[in-house]
Amino acid sequence: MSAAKKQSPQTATLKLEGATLVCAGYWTVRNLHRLETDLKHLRWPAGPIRLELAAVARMDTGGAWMLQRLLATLEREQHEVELHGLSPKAAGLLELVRGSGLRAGEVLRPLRPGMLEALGRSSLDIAQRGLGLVAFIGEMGAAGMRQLLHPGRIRWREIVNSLAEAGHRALGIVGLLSFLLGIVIAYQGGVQLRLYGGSLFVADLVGLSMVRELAPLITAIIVAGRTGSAYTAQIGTMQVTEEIDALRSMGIAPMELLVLPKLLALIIALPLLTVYADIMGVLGGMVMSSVQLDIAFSTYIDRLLVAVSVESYLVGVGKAPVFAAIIATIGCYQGFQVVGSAESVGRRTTVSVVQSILAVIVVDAAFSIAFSRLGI
Amino acid sequence: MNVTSSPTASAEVVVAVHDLTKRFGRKLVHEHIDLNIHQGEILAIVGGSGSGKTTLLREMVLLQQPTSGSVQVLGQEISRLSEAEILRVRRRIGVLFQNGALFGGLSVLENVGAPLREHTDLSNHLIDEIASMKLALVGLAPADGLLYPNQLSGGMRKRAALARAIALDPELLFLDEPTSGLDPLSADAFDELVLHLKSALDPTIVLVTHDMDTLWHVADRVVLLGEGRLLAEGSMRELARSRDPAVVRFFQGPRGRAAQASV
Repeated sequence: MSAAKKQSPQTATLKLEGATLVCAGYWTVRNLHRLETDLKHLRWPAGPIRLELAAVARMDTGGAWMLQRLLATLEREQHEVELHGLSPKAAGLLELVRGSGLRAGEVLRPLRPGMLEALGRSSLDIAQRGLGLVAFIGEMGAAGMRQLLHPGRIRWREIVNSLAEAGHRALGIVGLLSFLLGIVIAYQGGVQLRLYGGSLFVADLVGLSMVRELAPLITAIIVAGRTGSAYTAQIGTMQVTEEIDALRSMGIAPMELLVLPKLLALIIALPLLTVYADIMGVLGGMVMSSVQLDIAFSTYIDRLLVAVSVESYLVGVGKAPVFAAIIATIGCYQGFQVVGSAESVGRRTTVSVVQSILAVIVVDAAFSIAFSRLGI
Repeated sequence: MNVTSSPTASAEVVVAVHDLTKRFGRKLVHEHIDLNIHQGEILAIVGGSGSGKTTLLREMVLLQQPTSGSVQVLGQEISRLSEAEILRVRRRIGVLFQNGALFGGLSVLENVGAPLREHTDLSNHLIDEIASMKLALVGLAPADGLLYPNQLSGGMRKRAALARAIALDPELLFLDEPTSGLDPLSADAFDELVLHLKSALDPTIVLVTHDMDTLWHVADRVVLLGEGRLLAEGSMRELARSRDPAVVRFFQGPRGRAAQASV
């Protein structure tokens, strides 16, 4: 059977012979594209047109719609039309598509706003989201205050779970990346320093840059990508499946169950991860210095203790809770912004990661300026 | 409206299930099932929750492989088909999923147009026209086409999903719980819609349902699944007269009797 089909592929044809249009073949939706192009090139003679449909082997609603469209075109151009040989089944289909009340060539399209309107709408949207974020931070603060007044309501279990998820399970990737970062800095810096005979200063270079800037920053970026996105996806999916509404209806504030534990856990976890990243970065630098520059571990550590003051260390670690608050806030806020579908969860998760990394870097720059003004 | 003309044995067999067995790990879902579905009939598959109705449906729409046995769909033995051949068979099949499974990122009109866009070379404009026509067929207004799935009510979502299932005028239409989650009025209207489409487009329809009213009003033939086997088959009238305890238990509960009384 399939072999026979291959020999005579099903097609739909039409041919204009004088004032008669001969339609033949399979007028089904899969073959319509030929009809569509053929019909465009037809030159209709003046006067009445005869449609000969006896040779149409099969017709489906798509074909019937094509026929209806053809009839509408002919009518618009004021031809009289005679239909011949329409099978009862095809006639039924034609009746059916006519009954839809749809006019050929007419499709309702979404109104595309003009440029000015689009600009206005998106500005309004951005302003609203900004305000929404401020309101969200306010709500978070209020919920936090309530919990401080009633410490019995603090959800320790959620905090511990979040802590394990955001902190403990991130140790591997944070450690690996900062170790590699330490190696890279030591290697690149060491090559330059050796030219000036100051190989030992590689400990200053790695120590200061890791501890003050790079460790907090890279940890925050990893956590934003790893944990911030998970917060958005989790809350967003709960929003889609109405779990958030279920919590509300049970009298459980989503803020207290979902947001505050995450915020608190991240504020605890990120500084700890940063300390860990400091250590691993310095370790990476130490290993590289020993391999490439022949600096003994003990010499390296002695130099490190001179170069990196406690102040620098605290400056670096002190930024981490701020980054943590930013990441958790944006992650949770974007989660609550999800409406409707799975696609929205994906979009909000992307927005969440992009915004938190951006915010972390901007705030880091602001910190740098502030510290240099203060002379720290 | 009640169609009792049970199709004769001579009608072409569209789906032939033979000696089908399906296991998930240790769990036996069904065992040695034989079932023929004839051209042009409306066959309902019923059974309690977990009786493997949906699994059977998924095997017939080529979404799940049986553990053993054969399934022939539209004359093709599906276990022997290549990817390309499976695709060709799939194009002739329409499926309405239980929760609609409309694509959330697309408007209703784009959802209905999606199979057309994928499988034909029609112009966008014509695709939109045909999609609007299908929406009209399932009783949705042209303006509904601009909405997104999350803006639709349950009944509208089912209708939109049905419009997508019939986008390519399938010869074989599978409906998974078409009336679940609908209020009685919408469910009645949906039953009518299925019958209307049946008379207009004449596909073979296989539906999985719990809905006694749907069984009485829509189905030509009903098969009852349970304990991994086919427990009974026949028209609702025949099943209603049956004395088989499993059949009696399933169809003669208060709901079953109420639905029968309303015929």
